[in-house]
Amino acid sequence: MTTAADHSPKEVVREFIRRLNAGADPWALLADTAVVTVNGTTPLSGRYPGVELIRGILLDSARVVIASLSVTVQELIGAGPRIAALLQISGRSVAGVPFNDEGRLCGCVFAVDAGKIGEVILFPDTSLIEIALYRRRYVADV
Amino acid sequence: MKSPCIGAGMLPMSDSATAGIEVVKQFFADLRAVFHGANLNPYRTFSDDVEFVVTGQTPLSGTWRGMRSVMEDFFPKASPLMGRAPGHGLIPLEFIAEGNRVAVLARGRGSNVLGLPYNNTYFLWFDVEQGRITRYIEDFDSSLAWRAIFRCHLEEAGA
Repeated sequence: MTTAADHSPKEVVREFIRRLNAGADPWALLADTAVVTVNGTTPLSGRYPGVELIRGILLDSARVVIASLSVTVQELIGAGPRIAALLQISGRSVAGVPFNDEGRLCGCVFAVDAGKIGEVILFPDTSLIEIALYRRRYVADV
Repeated sequence: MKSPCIGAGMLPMSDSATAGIEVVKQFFADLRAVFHGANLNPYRTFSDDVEFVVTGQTPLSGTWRGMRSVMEDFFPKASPLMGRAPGHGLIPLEFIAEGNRVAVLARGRGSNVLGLPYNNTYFLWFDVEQGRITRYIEDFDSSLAWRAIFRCHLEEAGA
């Protein structure tokens, strides 16, 4: 039996992250019309409206560079449908490079409606994405 | 664009969350005033023992403990890299709060020291205690900062 508390926005977000860590298809918790936005200017950055784009472009692109991923919730706030989180996202690239072993935090906002996630706005460490996942470096222009 | 203060949605916010938002809004108001020429300390809402975090891998990324360290170690390095022009500023788009913690989505309009645009997007986190900001986390597109502020470009690491 499910209760209203099971579908509280915070609990839905926690379940999403539990599934993400377990490799248990967290994306099934997204509404069909969900929009995922990855902040910034990296190859993974962009606005992905709809599950088809999320799975077909964002996730497939991420799998090309990310071998393993671990997400830990440090903070989760919001008494309504919009939840803000401080997350530790770490893992290993397909090239075997660990990223964010230091456990630095990044921000994320979730919008939850009727037990489904309708929006995710992730603010990852974009320079770490370039350095660790895409094996690039920043070089002075002059 | 969303209204500048979307609180906790359908449920009433606690008094502490409302108070926290007011402190954070004062910070944005102070910043706006300074960008418009006011002579005041935009960080007057920050606690003396604030934890001040700038995310990313840039030369300005790190954690500073205490406002004195922020003023003596962070700003002297950051300020010379930034441009100054009318219209620059940081605009809050959404507030999400609970208890003494406030998250803000914001957009910035700025420039580098050469005047080239630097318009970033921010997730800002504030812990507020007794009317003062005790933790500030500035999360943003640090890769954009590398290119716009530090005037770098990306190359393959092996190149």
